[in-house]
Amino acid sequence: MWSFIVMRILQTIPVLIGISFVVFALLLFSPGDPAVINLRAILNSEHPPQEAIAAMRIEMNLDKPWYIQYGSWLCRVLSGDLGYSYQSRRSTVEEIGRAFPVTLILSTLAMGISCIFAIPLGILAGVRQNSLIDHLTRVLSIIGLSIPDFFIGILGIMCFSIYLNWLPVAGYEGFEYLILPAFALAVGMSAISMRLMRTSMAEVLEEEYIRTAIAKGLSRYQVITRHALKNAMIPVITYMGTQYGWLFGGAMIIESLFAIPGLGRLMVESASTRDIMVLQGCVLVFALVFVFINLGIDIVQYAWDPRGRVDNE
Amino acid sequence: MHGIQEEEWIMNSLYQAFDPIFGILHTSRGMVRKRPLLMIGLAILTLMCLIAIFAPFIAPHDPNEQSLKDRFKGPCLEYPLGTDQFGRCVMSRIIYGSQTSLAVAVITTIIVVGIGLTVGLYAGYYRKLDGLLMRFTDIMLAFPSMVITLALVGILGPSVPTIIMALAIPGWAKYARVARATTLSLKNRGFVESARALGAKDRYIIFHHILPNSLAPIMEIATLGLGGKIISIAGLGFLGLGIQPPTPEWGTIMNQGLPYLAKAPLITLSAGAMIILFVLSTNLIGSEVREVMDPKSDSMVI
Repeated sequence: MWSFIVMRILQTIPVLIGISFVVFALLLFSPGDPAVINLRAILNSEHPPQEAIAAMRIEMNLDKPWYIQYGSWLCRVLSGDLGYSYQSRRSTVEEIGRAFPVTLILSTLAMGISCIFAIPLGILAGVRQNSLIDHLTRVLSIIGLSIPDFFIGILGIMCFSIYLNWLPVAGYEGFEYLILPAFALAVGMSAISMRLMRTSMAEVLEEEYIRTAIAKGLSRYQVITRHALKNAMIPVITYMGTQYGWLFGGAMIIESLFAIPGLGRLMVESASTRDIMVLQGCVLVFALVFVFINLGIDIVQYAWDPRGRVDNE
Repeated sequence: MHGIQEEEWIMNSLYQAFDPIFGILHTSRGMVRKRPLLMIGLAILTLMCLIAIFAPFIAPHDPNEQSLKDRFKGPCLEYPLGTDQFGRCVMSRIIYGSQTSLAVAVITTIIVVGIGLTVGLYAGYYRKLDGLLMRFTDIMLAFPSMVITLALVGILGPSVPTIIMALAIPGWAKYARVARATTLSLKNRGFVESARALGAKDRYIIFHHILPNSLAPIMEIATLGLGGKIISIAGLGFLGLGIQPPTPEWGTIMNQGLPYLAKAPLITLSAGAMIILFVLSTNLIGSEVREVMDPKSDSMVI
């Protein structure tokens, strides 16, 4: 168990290094002098003085070859310095720290809603294949996948905020502000996990050990909940974990639509205003969250399902 | 005598030339009965493409023609879907918008499939390249694709070439993975080995033997990907970072209609409906094709 976890953590190191290169390259590609970009935010002026630019260029090692620039950038990032926001004058770390919990709550809520709907429906469809509910979930999931989340958000605003006046339109002052956005995010996610649950359930029910359990005289309900579900959940958990990572980045449009001050909105705003330092910070955080969630899924899967262990070790 | 023979020959060759079409028509009749969802998807997709191609003939107005006295008109004979805040015909804007969205999505998909296939084929064929190329795709897949797209658009500014590039850079890795997997499974098959024994060069084997056989799964993901690209393009437009107004584009139209949601909901809703129809058609085609090719696997799960 521990050797697997250590191995898996070691495997993320090359990916982390790769990510750092990509994020660093974003600054290289951005038009304009990185020293000027940095100084504008620190000195609060559109045209920083030449001496300050020259000093900053030396401090950021911009006169050196790119690998030394990369090295000094990496040192700064590892010590928690991601530069300053050109817009708000606050440090990028502070901005991200403020936005991160909001996105965390929103994506967890969306995930929860999607689990409540997708898993029971998926199980039902898998147990009763080719029944009405099976066809219904199939149609529902194709439709759910085809509607962009922001369109669902708009429909939600029209129904519940404009006509019925039950929920607030936009902003973030309490839990009720997250209901519509979380639902909008949950629809697309449920569409896939529902079908995955169905397929996985249908496959597990074909297996020998299920037949044994039925032959032993267990009730259908017991077979499904105690024996089949445990194995059928594995691909669904894997998928949902990945999806959780995607939600962090995927909530950008929804957060902007509902004016929720989360990471996605922070990134969209920094992209609109070319606030390069914050943009870079957001990309880094999204990639890190994604990598660590994947690491988490692999470890959970290892603990949950002993069958794959021989291959992994 | 000579004339009749010639006529017969012409008829024969004509028939031969059209034979594939008759064949498709014949099988399609069977397919409608067997796979109605596939046919619905194909019909919507064809209709969308026709609308985009013949936009100048279908659209009732110029998409950018403003008429300030006709602002926020409801649906009527002259403006079938009403007008927007500048008095522009919503229907015409949506029809012309299909040109922009479709063109960008198709070009991006072609680029992405091209890069992904090449990387995947070479990675699968040459073991030495494999490790390096696959670690590279690992890194690309570590970023949610919309994050990279948005970052690139933010840095380089929204323009059509930037948007295509920003969508293509995170998009190819998935195709490379699939192409690599099929190449690995095909590489040691009999027909490849016999081609090698006959002295075929690696390049020839890759492009004449392995490529045609790995196209099917790639095409299937590309169909689903086309719909995904339409959503991404619309998403960028919706954020105000897509194709810039006044060029009509579905996402931008949705965004611009947003402040008038209570007053003139048709602006946003009709553009949204076009996106949904298009994505629905690619999803239907993709999932049905997958079921035909591999009945055991379920649809849509990538």
